[in-house]
Parts: sequence; C-alpha cells; structure tokens
Amino acid sequence: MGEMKALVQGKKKNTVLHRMKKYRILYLLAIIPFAYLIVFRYWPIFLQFVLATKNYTIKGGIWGSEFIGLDNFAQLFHSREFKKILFNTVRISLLRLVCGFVPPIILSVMLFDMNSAVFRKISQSILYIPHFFSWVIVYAIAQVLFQNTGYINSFLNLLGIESKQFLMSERYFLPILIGSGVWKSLGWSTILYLAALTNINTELFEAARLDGAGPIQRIRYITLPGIVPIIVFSLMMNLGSILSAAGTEQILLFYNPTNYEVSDVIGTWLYRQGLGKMKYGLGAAVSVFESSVGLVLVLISNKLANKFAGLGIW
Amino acid sequence: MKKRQINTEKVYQAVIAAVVAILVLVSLFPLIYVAGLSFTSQQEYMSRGNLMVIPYRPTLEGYKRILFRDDTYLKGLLVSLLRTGIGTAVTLVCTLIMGYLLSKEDLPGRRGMLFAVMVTVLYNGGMIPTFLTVKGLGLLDTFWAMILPGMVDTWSVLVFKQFFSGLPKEVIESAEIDGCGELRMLVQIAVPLSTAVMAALGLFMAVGQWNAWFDALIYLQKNTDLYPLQLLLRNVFANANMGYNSSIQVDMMKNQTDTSLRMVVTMIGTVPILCVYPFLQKYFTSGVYMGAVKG
Repeated sequence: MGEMKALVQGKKKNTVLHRMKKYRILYLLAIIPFAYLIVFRYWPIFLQFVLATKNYTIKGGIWGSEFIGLDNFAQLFHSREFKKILFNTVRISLLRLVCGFVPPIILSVMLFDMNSAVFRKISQSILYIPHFFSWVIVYAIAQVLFQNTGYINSFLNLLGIESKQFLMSERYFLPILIGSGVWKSLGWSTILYLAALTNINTELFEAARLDGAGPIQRIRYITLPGIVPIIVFSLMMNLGSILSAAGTEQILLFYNPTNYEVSDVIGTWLYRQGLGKMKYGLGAAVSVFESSVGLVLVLISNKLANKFAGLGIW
Repeated sequence: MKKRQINTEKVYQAVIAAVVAILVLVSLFPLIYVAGLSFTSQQEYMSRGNLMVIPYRPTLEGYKRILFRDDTYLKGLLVSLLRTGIGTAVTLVCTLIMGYLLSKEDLPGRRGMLFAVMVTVLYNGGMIPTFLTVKGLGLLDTFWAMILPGMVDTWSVLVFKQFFSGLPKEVIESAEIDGCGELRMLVQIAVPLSTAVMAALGLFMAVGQWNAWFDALIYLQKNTDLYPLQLLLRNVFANANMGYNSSIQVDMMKNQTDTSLRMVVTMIGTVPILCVYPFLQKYFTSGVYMGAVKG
C-alpha cells in the first residue's frame, strides 16, 4: 500500500509542470542571460536580414529606407571590390594556415622529446608569453622594429643596404602580418599537441628504445601517429574558419592606404566602408554572406573532423 | 650499432636545444628591446643609434612624463582595470548560470534553450547590425558598451554545461533528499565545485577584456574619457587620423622620433599581463583543451 502511494507520488512528481516548479529559481536567474541572447545576439541577426534588403539612407533609418529585395547582393557579386576583399580574406587565412600550421607540430614534438625537463619548462613558459599580448602591443613591437629608423633598417644600413619602407608597402605587408601572427601564436599552438603527446602510452617508447629505434623512427612510427587525430582535427577547424580567420583586429592595426590592395579583408571593409561610410545595407549583405558561408563551412568541417579524427566540437 | 644510435640521439638533442633556444630568444628579444628603449632618454637613443638595446644611463623620465604630465594614461589604466574586473565578473556569472541551467537533464525546455545557444555560437549578426543594436539601446559612449555586448560567452556556456553534467549524480541526489533548494544547490554545491573551471575560464576572459580595444573604438566615439589603455595605445601608433588630442599624444604625433615615449606606453600595456602570467600558467592546458574540444 505504502509502496503504491510512493509510486503514484513519484509519477506525479515527474510531470512537466512539477519540474518547471522545481527549477523556477533557475528560470528566474536565467532571464538575464537569455534576454542578453535575444537583445545582443538574435536582434542583430534579424537586423542583418532586414538591412540587407534595404537601400539604407540616414533619413529613412532602418525601417523607413526603401526595400530593394536582393539588389544589395546583386551589386556585391558584380563589384570588383567585393571580389577583392573576399579574395584577400581567403588568401590571408590560407597563408596563415600554410605558414602557421606545421611549425607548432614540429615544435611540440621537439619540446616533448627534450631530455631536460627544467629547460623544457622554462622554454615553454617563455614561448607562451606572446599569445597573451594584445594585437596593439604586437603592432607596437612590429613598428619599432620595422619603422624607417627601426632596428631592422638600422641593421640593414650597417650591412650597406638601403632602408626599406617595410610598413608602408604592398610588398612587405603580408610577410610582416603573417610573420608577427606566427610569432604570437607559435608557442601557444603547441599546447594542444603536447596534451595529446602526453597521452601516448610510454611503453611504446620503451619498446622502441629496446628495439634500437633512433629518434627519427621513433617520431615517424610512434610520436606522429599518436597525434594524428588532433592534427586532422585542427586542420579541419582551420579550414572551417577560412572566412573568419584573416584576423580583422590585427589587419586594422597593420594596414594603411598604401597596401589596401592586398590587405583589405571583409572585416576591415565592414569597418571602414560599411560602418565608416554608413553603407549599412551593403554591409549587412556582406555580413549575411560571411555568416552563412561561414556556418556551412563550420558544419562541414565539424562533420569531417568527426569522421576522420573522431573528434568534433559537438 | 648501439653506438651509432646513441650518437643520433645526441645529435637530435643538440638540434632540439639549438632550435628551441633560438625560438626562445626570438620570443623574448622584442620585449627586452621595448623595455630597454622605455628606460632610454631621447638624447641617448639619438646618439647611440637604433641598434642599442640596453641603455647606459637608464632613466624614468619617460614614465614620469606619460603617467604624470596629464592624466590621460592614468585614466586609461583605471578604465582598463574597471572593464577587466566588471566585465569578467558579469560574464562569468551569466555564463555559469546558463551552463548550470542547461546541465539539468530533466529541465523542461532544455533542448530548445541549448539550440538557441548553439545558433549564436554558429551564426552572428556581424559588425554593423550589432553596432546599430548598441546604438539603439543608447549605449554608445557609455562604459556599458564595453561590457554588455559580450555579457555571455556562449562557447564557455557549453564548457560549464559539460562540467556540471559530469558531476556525480549522488552529490545532487543526496542534496535533494536533504531538502536543499535549487538556489542553495547552485550557490553552495555547484559553484564551489566548479572553482577550477571558473578560474581557468575567468582568467582567459580577463586577458581578453584587458586586451580589447576594437569595441571601444567603435562604441566610444566621442567619450574619450572612457578609452581603455589599449585604445590609447593604438591611437599612439595608428596612422589613422584621430579626432582626439591629449597634449602628450599631440607631442608624440609631432615628434615621431620620440620612440622611447611610445615604448613607455607599450610597457604600461604589457606589464600587467606579465604580472598575472604566473597565475595563468596553471590553467593553460585545461583552458586550451576546453576551448578547443568541447563535448
């Protein structure tokens, strides 16, 4: 009898209404974060679609401006400028990937293989530091090294080479941008690989040593295979963010009118032309393009990462 | 045979040591250079040329000029500290609450809410619509423009959710039997258990707040009093025209050769990061791992 009662009560306690009542305080607390999502995340998405279909004028505002359907998109896909910023965005992202992907893998294997634990710890601590500097600081450093009277030019002068306009040229923009990016992230990017390396079964290394395998065989047959999943995973994630990985914040600091031809990307264009010159309609259309293609790329890359590496972000 | 093996291992170790040592130097050199120049007087810099690194007669003149001739940089420092403190606290609390809520498996509406969070992780409104939202709310030129648009870190919501889902069920069940309400459970059980996660995520959020300048650039157009240090620093270096003139900044713009003053400002933006760096180190691996592979 008592058991029955408990059972009935137990069932009753599981109704949706009861559970909602149980968590009422949590719902109440979550109002603010969810209000945030609606106001600062969903509203802009809505605005993005509205603006993208409008010929925005200051007088008309968001709601009063003329509705022009997909004209903004038509204008974009026909404009040379959009092709240029799209090309630059993908090019800079790919260059970052090509130059910045392999070095951390090599470095993490080296750090992992290092015999002296003390030297390894100290090196790691120092190599990670640049990651924590803001891009402003990185630009400050780049400027003092590369300016006309800077360290590099003074050094060149010493060798009898004339000073070069490193910061005001099309030619040196990409190497300096990508180089300083790699400088900032190289050490930090090893962390994920090092975490994977420490998970490799140490008995394998022991067995390899007894079998007389040298460092090269060891790396080839044990170390690298041990981190292949993580390598594939990060490669996929990098490819998935190809539209967002150009680094707007860094480029905004490093670029100037002398190199817009190679340095202007989607993000910097949105800031300078979209926001600065109030091309809100066209700018929103660019955002729709960027966010939608970005979404598809991330979904695909996550799927591929799950398939090939057994690792995904969800 | 055995001997050759040992030799290749030795050669390999030597190569590693050399490569890593060079990379360490490359990481460190710009810092030493910046620090050195910040303690150099303009006269010494001019007379010794640009290849100098360590000053013969170090001076605090630059620091005195930047920090005490007018209050631009002291104010910037204060704003940066405030936005770092308040921004991190607000974001951490909101993010934790959301993650905790979503970890309750029998919560009605959980799937829908989770989906709502995932959407914002994957799709964003972009620079212009977000700007117009901030503007529409009347937040332009206010301190809150640097805090509210990033009030929830949706990525970290998923980290918290994952963490709370992983807590042993017994802890929660026994608390429920003891008649512990949901609020007390959150404050007295969940929060204390998650201090490590909070510390890791919080420290990285704080670094992000300290280093942020772009939001201030677009949201604080006229209110230069609220410029954080990183934006002031950016304005010193940017070739962009600045509708802004503190006496020191005009000074530096006119006198482009005054490298040491610029390096003083750089140091002021860098040193606080270096101060918290030792505390951060403990959380590196967990922080990165949580940031990269979730769920």
